[in-house]
Amino acid sequence: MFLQYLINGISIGSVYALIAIGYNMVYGILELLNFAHGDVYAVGCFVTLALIAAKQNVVVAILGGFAAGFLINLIVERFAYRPVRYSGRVTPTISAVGIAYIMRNVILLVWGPETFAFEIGIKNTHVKVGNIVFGTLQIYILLIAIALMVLIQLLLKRTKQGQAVLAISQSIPTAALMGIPVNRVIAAVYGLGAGLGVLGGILFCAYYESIFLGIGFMLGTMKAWMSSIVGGIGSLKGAVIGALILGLTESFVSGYISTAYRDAFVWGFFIVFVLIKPRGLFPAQISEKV
Amino acid sequence: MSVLLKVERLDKFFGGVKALVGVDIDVKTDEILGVIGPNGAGKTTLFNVVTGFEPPTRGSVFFDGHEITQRPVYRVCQLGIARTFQNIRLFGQMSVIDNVMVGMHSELKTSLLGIILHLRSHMSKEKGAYLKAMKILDFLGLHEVVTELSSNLPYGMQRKVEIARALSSDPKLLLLDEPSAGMNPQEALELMALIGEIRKLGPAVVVIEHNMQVVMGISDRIVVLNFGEKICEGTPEQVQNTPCVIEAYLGKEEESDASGN
Amino acid sequence: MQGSRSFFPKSLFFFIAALFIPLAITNDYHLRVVNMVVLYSIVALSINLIVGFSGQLDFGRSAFVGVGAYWSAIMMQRFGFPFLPAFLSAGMICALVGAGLGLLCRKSSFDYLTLITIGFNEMCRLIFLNWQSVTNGAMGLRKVPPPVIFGYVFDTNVRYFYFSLILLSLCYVLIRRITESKLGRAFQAIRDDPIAAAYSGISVPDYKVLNFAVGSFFTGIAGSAMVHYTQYASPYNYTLDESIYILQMVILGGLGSLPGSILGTALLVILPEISRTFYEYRLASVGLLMVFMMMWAPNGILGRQGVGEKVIGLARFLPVRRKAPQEKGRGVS
Repeated sequence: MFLQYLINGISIGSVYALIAIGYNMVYGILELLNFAHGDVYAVGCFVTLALIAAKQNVVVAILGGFAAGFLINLIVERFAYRPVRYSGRVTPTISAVGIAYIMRNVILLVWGPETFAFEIGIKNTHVKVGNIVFGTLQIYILLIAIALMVLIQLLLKRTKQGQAVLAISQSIPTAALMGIPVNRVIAAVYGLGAGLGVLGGILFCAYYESIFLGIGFMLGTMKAWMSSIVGGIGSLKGAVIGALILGLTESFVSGYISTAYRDAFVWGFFIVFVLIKPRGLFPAQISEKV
Repeated sequence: MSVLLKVERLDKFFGGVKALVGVDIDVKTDEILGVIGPNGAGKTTLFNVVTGFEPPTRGSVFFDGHEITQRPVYRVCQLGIARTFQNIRLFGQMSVIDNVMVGMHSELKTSLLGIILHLRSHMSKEKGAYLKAMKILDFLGLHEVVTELSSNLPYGMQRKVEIARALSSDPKLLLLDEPSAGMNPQEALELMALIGEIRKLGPAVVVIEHNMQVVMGISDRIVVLNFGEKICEGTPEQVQNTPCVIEAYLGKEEESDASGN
Repeated sequence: MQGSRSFFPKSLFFFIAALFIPLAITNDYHLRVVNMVVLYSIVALSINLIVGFSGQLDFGRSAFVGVGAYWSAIMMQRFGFPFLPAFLSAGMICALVGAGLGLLCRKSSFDYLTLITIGFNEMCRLIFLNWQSVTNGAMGLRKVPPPVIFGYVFDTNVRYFYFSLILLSLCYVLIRRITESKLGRAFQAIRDDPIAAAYSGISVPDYKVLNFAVGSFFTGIAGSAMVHYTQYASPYNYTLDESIYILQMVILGGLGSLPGSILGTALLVILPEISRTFYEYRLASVGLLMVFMMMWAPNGILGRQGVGEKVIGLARFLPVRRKAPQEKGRGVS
């Protein structure tokens, strides 16, 4: 059983990782809270669902969803986040909560609160090794997550655009003085973050073969946030590892302790972890000057 | 005059960066000590370590007979040290008078019961604190902006509020970190006079300054830091004429010649 | 200090005016809504103390409402406690739990606190939902007895109105006194600049814990008062969404403004009742409200330099404008 839980944990962790990468791009790199991450990409996933229902090609549907998420976040960033970017920590957080609610209402209005079947042609074939079952899709997800993480790390370090992002994460005024188009870069990061979230969400829905409006907040925002904190703020590698740890914890708690109280225990462990290692496992260095 | 603050062989390393190296400083009660040095010399770090904001890598700090090395900031301040900051740190959403009254936090002894029942003992202490705060604000010429939100004030006044707050706890030692930063010459002169007045109220003062006119004018003694080390100490006249100090600020003679001097 | 008398008559005026509400509002349902406004206001005040005055962004207050509610209900229903002990102990228990949570979070930075309080809210909700033997699980606790004080039973809307009005007034006065004291100043100092607060002799972590404990006491009291009114405790009432909604009431009214919390609560409780559109599109309405408020009126209606001040800015008699809250309380005993 242990191995089965392990496999399950890694699978679900990989999905979280994919979503966490998108979340961490904004949160980790720009240190800006992205409370609406989940709900924005949820809209993107529903767009994909709609495109599939309209008999579009799978690739088109996925790209459509990605584009939808990207665009929404661009707009949201421009009109809701940018005006309050320098207004402390409370104000932008509340703004983001507002956006999350609006997104949720949009899904509610257009699609409704029910759970829908999500078939995008990516079949999860089950492979049995001994008495452990795992799906091929799970492997793909893990590989994609790792590949994306590596790719983004490379892009950040090796390309001019990536350097721009890192510069902004250090100091916005300085970056601006260096001629970096701060607003455009931040918008792009938000957009990309949402797009990646959509991809993660799509894979999540494909895995469970269903979609409903709740995949946004709890899964996307909360789990992604937790993963980022466990892994270490400012570290993409940390986000992936944090996500895997989260998935494993969920799996083992569910298996060995209790399914009903699973989340309660996971939260409990998380709180204890945060108190012991507040900076996470692989933190980037930031301290406040006096 | 006895020694109020004793900094003994203080080291502070941030990884490979040596912010403070073997610093020995004595501050006597009633004196005004100036601390000067080029940027990055470790002056603010000195304040940070002395007050407990940062732990030292090595060395000790003694204040008023007690060892305060590594004691938490709030404890150190309760013992009688108050400080202002290079980048003003006011309570922006609070009024000027409230800012000053926060400074009295440790002396104002009130109980929860007194607060919620508005007991006479509590109310009279509050009133006493209020009057004292008003007096200090008056002394600093801030009586007109007492109820103003502190973040609404112009820079120079914010500085004064910070000083008022520091004074309200009747500190034995006042640490001022570049108080004249951002001030025009006129304001800086007023500040000099102010610090002279403050000195009459009691506390010893340590001032970090870049404005030579100010620091040379008010200090009894001066300590010079460079690259974390104390390179010189003495009266203003002595320090002004020490070659190593001149070198620290202006560089060696050859370099000046090279730039066409 | 002579200006201090100005606030007192104002609050007293509102209190006396409020006494007549049951005469003006005879529709039972409407009165019920009013009662909910009064009760939620107490929760809002406690949130203001924690979020507004101390800057600790707590997203999980509803959990404490629930703890107070379940505790109080269970004490009366299962253990036969009379109302007042159940009620007061609910407050004390919440204060203890609040202190515990505060102890856990006291060294955490802003973001962590928010996340931890969300987690706490979720944990409580799951416990309420799953601990069948104690909380009756998803069914919730029904037929929770109404308050009984010295034999007088508060079981009608009108009677309950006076109970909750007096409770609200007491809580308001107490919280006001706290915010205008050294405690309140310490809380605000921590909110504005924790480092400078430490340099003023304030032990920041300890005061954060104290803030959580005191605030949670009032939240617990409110939770108890609510459950004995609705006579029903359900795990579906103490969710994250509830927490955020009540927080929104406080923000609307203005963080740091106690009268604002009552105003914000009134608006957000009554609005869904009178506007069909608002109710149907509740998520989007509240969402839009949040977004626009943060852009144009982050200080809410009655907060310092908030909408109210800007609109009525010219009125000389309004002591809200540019007067320190400390001024108002002084001299009033």
